[in-house]
Amino acid sequence: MSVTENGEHSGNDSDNSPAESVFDDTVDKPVTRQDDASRYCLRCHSPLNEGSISASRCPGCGLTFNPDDNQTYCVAVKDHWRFWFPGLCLAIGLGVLSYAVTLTVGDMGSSLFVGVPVAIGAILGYATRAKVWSRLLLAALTIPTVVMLIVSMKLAGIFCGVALGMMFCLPVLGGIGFGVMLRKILKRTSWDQRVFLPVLLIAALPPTSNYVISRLFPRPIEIVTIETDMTFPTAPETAWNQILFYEEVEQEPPWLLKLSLPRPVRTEGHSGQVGDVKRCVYEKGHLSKRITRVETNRQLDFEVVEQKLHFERDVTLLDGSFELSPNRLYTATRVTLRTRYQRHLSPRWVWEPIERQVVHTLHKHVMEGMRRKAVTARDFDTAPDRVPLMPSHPSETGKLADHLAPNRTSAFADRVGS
Amino acid sequence: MGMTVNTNEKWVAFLMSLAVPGAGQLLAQSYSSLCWIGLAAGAIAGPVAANQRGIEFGNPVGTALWILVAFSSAEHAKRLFEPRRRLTGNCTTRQSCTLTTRGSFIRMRFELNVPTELDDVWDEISNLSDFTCIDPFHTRVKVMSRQLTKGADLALEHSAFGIRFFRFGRLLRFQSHCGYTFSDISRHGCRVGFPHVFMIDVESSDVAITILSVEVRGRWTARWVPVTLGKLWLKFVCREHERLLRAAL
Repeated sequence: MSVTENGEHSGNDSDNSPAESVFDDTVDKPVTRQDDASRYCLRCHSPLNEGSISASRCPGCGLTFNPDDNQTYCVAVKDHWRFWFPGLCLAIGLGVLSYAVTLTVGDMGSSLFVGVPVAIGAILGYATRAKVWSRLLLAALTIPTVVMLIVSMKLAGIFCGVALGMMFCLPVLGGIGFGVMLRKILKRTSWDQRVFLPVLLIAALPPTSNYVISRLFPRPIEIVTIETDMTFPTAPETAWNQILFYEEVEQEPPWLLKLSLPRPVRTEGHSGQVGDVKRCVYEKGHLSKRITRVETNRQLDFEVVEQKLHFERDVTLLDGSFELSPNRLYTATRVTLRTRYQRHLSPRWVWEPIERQVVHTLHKHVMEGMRRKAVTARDFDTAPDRVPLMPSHPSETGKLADHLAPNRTSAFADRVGS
Repeated sequence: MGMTVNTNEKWVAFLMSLAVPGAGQLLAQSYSSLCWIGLAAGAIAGPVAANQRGIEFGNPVGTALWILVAFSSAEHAKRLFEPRRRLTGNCTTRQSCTLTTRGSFIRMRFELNVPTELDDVWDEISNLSDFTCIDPFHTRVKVMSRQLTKGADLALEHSAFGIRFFRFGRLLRFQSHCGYTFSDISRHGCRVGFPHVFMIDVESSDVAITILSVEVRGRWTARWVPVTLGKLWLKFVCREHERLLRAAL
C-alpha cells in the first residue's frame, strides 16, 4: 500500500507496510477468546475462521483485528434491517408520491390502479435483499401503509382506500417479481448508477405513462345504466305519492353506503311538475335534480343539473327515473329506479362490479324507505274508522293531484298535522 | 482536560427535543426545559389565538414556527451533553474554519491557539482514541491491531441523529510531538460516502502556546446532493468540530 502526499489511500487494502513502533497505553485489556464460529469482521461481516484468527486479518476484506480484543470484531451481524428497511421506506414513499402525481396528471385509469402498485412492488423487489417469504411479508406491510397514507392525505376516501388495498395485491406481487429479476440482471453489470436510477425510473413510469396515454389515446365516454326493482305492496297511487314527496330515508343505511357515499341530510324543493328542481343536501355537498317528465302514477324522469359530492372524478351522474308497474289487481306496484352515469374509472372489469354493488345498495336503501312509508300510508288509509285518502281507481288520480299541495311532505303527515 | 463526550446521549436528547421541545433538556436535567416547553406551547397556541382574532395565520406559518422551535430545542439539548467552554479557558481560534474546493475535492482547515506547553498538548492528542472522539459524529475510535503504529487499521464508530454505523480507516502518519494523519472511509469502499483524511498537527508558537491545526481533505461523492449543499453541510460540521475542540481543550 502506498500513501500519497495528501495522505490518501492507494492500492490494495490488504497491503500493510512495516510500521514504526509506538507504545500505546490506550489498547484495551485482552478479554476471553470467544468461540471461533461466532466472530465476524466489523467491516464486511465475513466469518473469521481459524486461519484468519491466526493471521489476525479478515479473509474477505483484509481488515486486521485483535483476537484478544472483542471490540475489534463482532459476534453477531445485527444489521439485517439494512437489507430491507431502506427498500421498504423507499417503496412506500415513492409509491405514495407516484400515486399522487399520477392522480394529478391524467385519467384515473390503469396507470393509477395497476401501474402504481406494479411500481411499488418493483421497487420492493429491487431495493430489498430478502427471501421469498420475507418479501411477501414486506408486501403485506407495504400495501396497507400506502393505502393509509393515501387516505390520510385525502387522495382517496375510506371506501376507495379499501378497494385500492384489495386491487393492489396482485400487481404488487407481479412488480416484486419484476424487481427481483431486474436486480439479478443489473447486479452482473458494472453500471455505477444502478443503485438509485432504476428505482427513480420505476417510480416515474406510472405518472409519465398516464400523462402520455391520456393525451394520445383519450378514453371514450362510457355511459352506464343501473336499474333496481322493488315491489311495493300498495296501489300505484300510494307508491307514486311516496316517490313524489320523498324527503329523507329514516332507517340506518347499510355499512357499504356509510363507507362509500356521503350521508344525506335533507331534501329541498318540489318535484311535482316538469321543471321543478329538487336539491338533496348531504353531509359534504349536494345534488340537484330537475324533473324532466311526469306521468302520474307511471313514470317520473329527472336529470342531474348539479353534482357537488366528493366523487366527481369517479362518476358523473347524468339522469334517472322511477317507473311504476302495477299488478293486475292494483294491490302491488313494481317500482323500477334507474340511474344513468358516466364512468371515469378504469379498468372497467375492476370497477364495474364495485359500482354496481354500491348503486344497487343505494337504490334498495332509498326504495326501502319509500316502501315503508307507502305501507304506513296504506295501513293508515285502510283503518276501519278512516276515510280512504287514496283513490281506489286510477281515474281518480287527477282529483288527488288537485287536493295535495306541492309543498306538503306526505298525506300521512297532513293527517297527523290536522 | 476532560474530553469525554457521551455521543449517544446527546443524540437521544436531540431526537427527544426534536419530537417534543424541552424533552431533551429534561433528560439533561436542565431547567431550560420549562422555557422550551413554554415556547412549544406558544408555537401551537399562537396561530390558533391569532386565527380566532381574525388574523390570518396559515398552516405553513404555524408549521414553520414549530419546526424552528423544535430544531432550536434539539440543538440546545444536544449541546447540553457536550463539554462546555470553561470560563477560565483561553483556547482561541487562530484561524477560523476555511473551506476550499476543486471540483468534488474538498479541503477544510482551522487552527486553535492552545495556552499550554507543546508536550502537554501532545500528551492529550496522542491519545488518539479519545481525541478523535471530540468530533460531532465520532463516538468511538478503535485501533484494530495490538499496537498503534503507522498503517494500523482503525474502526471509527459514528453516531448521527441516533443512527450508529462504522467507518474504517488507517493511521497514515504518526510523528511524535508533530502530529498524525488518519483516513475515514465508508465500509463500502473509497468511492462512496465522502472518503476523507484527518491531519492533526501541533506546533509550538510561543512560550506556553501551542498551535493545533486540524485539516480535513476529502471527496464529495453523493451525486444526488449538489456539491454546494454538501459544502454548506461540511462547513457546518467543521465549525461544530472547532467549537467542540475549543470547549474541550
